[in-house]
Amino acid sequence: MTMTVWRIFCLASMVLFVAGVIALFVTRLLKNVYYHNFTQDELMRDAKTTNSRNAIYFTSGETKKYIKKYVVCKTAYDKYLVCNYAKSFSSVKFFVVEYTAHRRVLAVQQIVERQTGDASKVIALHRRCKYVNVVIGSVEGLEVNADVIRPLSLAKIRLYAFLKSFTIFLGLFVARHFLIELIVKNGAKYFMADFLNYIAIGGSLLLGLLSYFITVKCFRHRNTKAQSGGALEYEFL
Amino acid sequence: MSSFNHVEKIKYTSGQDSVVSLGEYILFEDTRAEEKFAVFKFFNNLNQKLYAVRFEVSQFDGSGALLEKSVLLHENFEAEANAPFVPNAKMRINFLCEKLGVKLLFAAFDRVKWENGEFKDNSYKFDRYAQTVPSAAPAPARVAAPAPKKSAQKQLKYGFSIRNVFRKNIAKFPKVFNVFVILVVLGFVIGAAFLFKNRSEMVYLDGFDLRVSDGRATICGYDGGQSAVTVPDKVGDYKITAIAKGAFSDRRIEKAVFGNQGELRIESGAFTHCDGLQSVSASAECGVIYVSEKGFENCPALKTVDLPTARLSRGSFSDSKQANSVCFDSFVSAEAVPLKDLFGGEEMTFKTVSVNCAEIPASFLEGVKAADFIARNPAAALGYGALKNVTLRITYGNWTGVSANSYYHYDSCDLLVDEVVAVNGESDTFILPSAVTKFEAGKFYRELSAVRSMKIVQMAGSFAPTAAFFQSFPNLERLSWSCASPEAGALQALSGLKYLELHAAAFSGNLDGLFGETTVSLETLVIDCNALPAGFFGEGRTGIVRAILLNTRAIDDLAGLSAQSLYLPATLAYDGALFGLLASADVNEFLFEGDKPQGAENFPENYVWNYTGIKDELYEF
Repeated sequence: MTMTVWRIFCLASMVLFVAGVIALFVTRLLKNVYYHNFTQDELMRDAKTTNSRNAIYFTSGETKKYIKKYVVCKTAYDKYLVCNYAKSFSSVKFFVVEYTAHRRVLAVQQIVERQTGDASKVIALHRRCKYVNVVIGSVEGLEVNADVIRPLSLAKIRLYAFLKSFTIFLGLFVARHFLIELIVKNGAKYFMADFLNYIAIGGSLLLGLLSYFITVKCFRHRNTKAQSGGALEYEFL
Repeated sequence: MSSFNHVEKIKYTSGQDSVVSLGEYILFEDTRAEEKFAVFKFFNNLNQKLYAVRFEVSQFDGSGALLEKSVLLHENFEAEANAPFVPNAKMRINFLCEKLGVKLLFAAFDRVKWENGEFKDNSYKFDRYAQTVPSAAPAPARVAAPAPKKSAQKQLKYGFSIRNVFRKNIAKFPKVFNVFVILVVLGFVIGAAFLFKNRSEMVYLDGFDLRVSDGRATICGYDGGQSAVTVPDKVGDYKITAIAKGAFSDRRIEKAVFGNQGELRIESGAFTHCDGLQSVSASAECGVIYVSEKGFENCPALKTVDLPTARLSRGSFSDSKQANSVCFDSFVSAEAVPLKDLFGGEEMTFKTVSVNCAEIPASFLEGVKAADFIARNPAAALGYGALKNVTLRITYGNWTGVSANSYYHYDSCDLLVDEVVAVNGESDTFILPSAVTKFEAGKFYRELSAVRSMKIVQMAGSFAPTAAFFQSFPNLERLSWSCASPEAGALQALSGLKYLELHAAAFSGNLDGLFGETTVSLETLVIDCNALPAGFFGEGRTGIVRAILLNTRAIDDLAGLSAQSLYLPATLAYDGALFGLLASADVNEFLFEGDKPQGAENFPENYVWNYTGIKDELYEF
């Protein structure tokens, strides 16, 4: 192949590489998906005390059977959450999903408590937390929600792995071309026809393929480790 | 049947903004028993179920005076959110009561209680909590620390655990592996590139593919895209010394110009199948260009080959049969190659052929025609008949642009105008044309060495064979020379001469003087002259077997003649004077062409009359 053809390949690879990087960022394939969407809980009361501001919200959905309301207490430096149980439970597990002002999940805390009273222990919230949703997990052995975070689907994992591996391969292809033109200069045309060049390309391809399988395997392994109630998702694994 | 004789429904409008409000009530009056009851219809105005409610009921008479107050309590019921409800009970009121007023004291909802105008939670005291929070320095921002799995399990035993289950889907090992892949591949590429750069002989510069070594380069390819290619002396820092096979093959070039200052070698196949190539040229100042066999093979459009410094090989322009102008220096091999063999074509016609060869063989223009032939080397050796196919002009030696008609191709030699330019080395007989005025016989020594017989007719010009001339004929055995005044010693080099014919009207000099100090034994001496001068035979140093006189009319003397026989032509007067001369000659036999004179008797027995065998003794040149 002439040098012009190689340069065309390099240019095409560069374009595809940029497209791949953009696709990886934009699609956010590994973004967490939640079972429950954000719900704007009903504000019961917003009281200002000497050194704090306390807002009481009613829970919603199936949670309200077990946890009636919660208070978000904001002091000068901290934020706390205390939940109000409907009654005393021998054991209860619930999730506190913290949201930013833009309603993006900031943190998810899993709280497990035994021999509860009417109120939970104080739960510290993130400084940037603006909203909270409380999702009941299990009550006295009765599982309501095993988890709030959906496990990644296998299709997404594979797509992500393929995109990343292929993008890396394209990036290596472009980098290889630039390095050759930079280092070998006038002999670049002959290096492109040399066996070493094809070894580099073939090696990139093989390692990219290996990277794909490793990525898929690692994510699957991770997903299976964090088994929760997303049984439907695991049917395909 | 009801005992109430008066039932009145009254709408209640005040206090409608309360969490639980009275919408209407019904008064049931039993006048006979003087009893009055009220049934209320409340509205739950909160978005929660209502489980208990306590009202203060004020009873007023018809004039609006307060009769009494009582408390109404309903509990253990369930009223839907934002809906009316009617407690399943009647309230006994004062019989005189005409109007009621209610005031909500307490309401217990699903998740909240209302009392005295404000909501109250039923389990947590906010005031108490807020007061217990110390006003401390800002603690670093923290998210609920994710407890490790084991400790989380341990904490379960203690009744409370918090674990951050939020995770970003990042698998670390694939990231590490990808970084490893990138590093490995880039490292390999960099290493391979440097290794290749140091070891590779191939370089691409200015459109040329070069194979370099020690500052010199061989052109292996070209993709510059130009139709007129100039092969420079240097490309970059590399001196071009050769053009390799396939360098310009199948390229769309129309013109190739060479600008090398040093030697340039065009290897076989360098310009193969250049269908559009029309001319190849180089300046006269270029260095030597060696063109290998098939260097310009199959270039059907090639018309002009202008390589004045090129040395060609057989088949250098093989199958490039449209060429009509060729200029080159010489040949790679010492042996010259016919022009048709350079191009591989028969019956080619050239407009111009210009060569600088040291030798132009006889076969050089064989099978081709050339309109204009230029031999740039004035000392070039020309082969016999080499220029017979030139049709228009010849430039050779000192002759520039002479007409091709001035080239004469004789049996023995070629003349260009009046100069012998080539000699037929295949013949042992050399007949010198009369038109010759210049003959450097020394140049043709090799060819003339084979000459055994030579005939020199009367020269039309000023050319006179000298001793130096005859030195070029070392093996001459037979000579026929028309010359009245031969140079003294002219024939001294002809020690092997056996047959000599001298033709002239009259001679000056003698036979001894002709051969100088050389002793020659002639088998036959033919003297064709009108008068044989006195002393012609000299002192008789030249041995003669047969002496033949032709057309002689007078003999001064025969002194010095010693021969086996003497032929006397009929042109002589057979008279006493002659016989007197013959008597003193040292000749064994006298052969008379004519008859015995009449009246003459007693001739010696060695007189042979009517001798006709002379023709057999004369050599036919």
